[in-house]
Amino acid sequence: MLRIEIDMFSGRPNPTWLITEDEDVKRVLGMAGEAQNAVAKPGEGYTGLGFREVRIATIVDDTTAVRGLETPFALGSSGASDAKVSNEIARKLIETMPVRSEVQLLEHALTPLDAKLRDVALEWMELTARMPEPSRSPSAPPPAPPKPGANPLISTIHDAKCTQCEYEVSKFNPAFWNTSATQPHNNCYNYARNWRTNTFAQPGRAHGAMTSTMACNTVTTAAMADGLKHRCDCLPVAQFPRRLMALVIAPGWDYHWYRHQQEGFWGHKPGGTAARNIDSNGVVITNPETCARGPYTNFCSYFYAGKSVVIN
Amino acid sequence: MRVELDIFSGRPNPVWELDAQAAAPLAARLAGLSEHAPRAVDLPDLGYRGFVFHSDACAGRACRGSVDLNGTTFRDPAFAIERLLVASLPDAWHDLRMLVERILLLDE
Repeated sequence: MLRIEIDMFSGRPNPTWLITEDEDVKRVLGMAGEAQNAVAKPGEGYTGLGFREVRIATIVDDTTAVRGLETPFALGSSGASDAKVSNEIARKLIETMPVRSEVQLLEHALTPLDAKLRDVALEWMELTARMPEPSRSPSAPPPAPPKPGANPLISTIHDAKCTQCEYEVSKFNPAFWNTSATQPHNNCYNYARNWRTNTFAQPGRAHGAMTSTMACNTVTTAAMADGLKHRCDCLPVAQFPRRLMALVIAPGWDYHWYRHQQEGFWGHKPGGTAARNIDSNGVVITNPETCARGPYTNFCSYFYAGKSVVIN
Repeated sequence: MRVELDIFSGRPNPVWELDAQAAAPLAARLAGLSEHAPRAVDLPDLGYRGFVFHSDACAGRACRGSVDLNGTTFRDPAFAIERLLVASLPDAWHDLRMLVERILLLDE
């Protein structure tokens, strides 16, 4: 999943949307990977008023890496060594901006996506492109094109607890989460859903269904408003990637989530601390029902989270 | 001084500000720390992880009788720093204050 942001406003939120379809994600990363002279680091180019760049960020920890392409990156940036191509790719990307996003983000309250906004973004990009060029640094040699093929970071497994259900497990990737820019702003719910919102996501908040009562039933209701399903309520393949999450409760105080990983253990991220795969006793978590959980004494249940689950 | 009680996993931790008057006893206690500890306390993954404090003059964490202050670890065997900080928790967190006081009693 990719987060696209057109950096162009000063006061209101920038136009922002998500690319959720795997094929679309591959296409965008592929375009950038094949034209890396057109790619810049965010903030590297023009930083004045008006259109500045289109920022592309991965928000899940199992996106297939494209060789030589670091995320987040920027297109339509005067900081790219080939700004012309950078603008061409950015234009294509902006033209795909959904005029009504399927996934509602907080930014859409003040900056709803529509055709007029898309046209303004394209117009402002042209204005910025006509500004005098900044000095360029020597360009790096173009890296090799990305490898085709499936994502080795994700695999599909049969759920042994159910008759027919399958879900996806990802390779444990704590480095994605344990950075100063990400770790403090993402919690256990972000980690278990595998969505870096940088909002310390709360169950139900994205759908006006947040709870302040810390109990299994209330947090379950809030999370299901976000789209989670009970385990063995099989999700279709169209919901790929489907995560298996486990909910526990410190009664009256707090909740905590775990995510099943490709290696067979469970990963988690206690609040603003580092993501990890060990429990309170330092033991690798093979069973969230029995692992050491400190005050989170109530094991609630397991849930599936498909790609349509939106959190904030 | 900005103080955070690091205790939750899902919910945001309580964060509050101490004005100069409220921070003065804490600053005095911190200045009086002298007994070095060999290393920082191991933080648990879930549950009480101490208090994180930050001001122009100092930054650190107090947890379970150990205080990391500006990169140096001191012992605080009477939990004096943590007791001062838990007492400063705003009234909106009254229940949490009692919970942490119980934790500190058990730890002592």
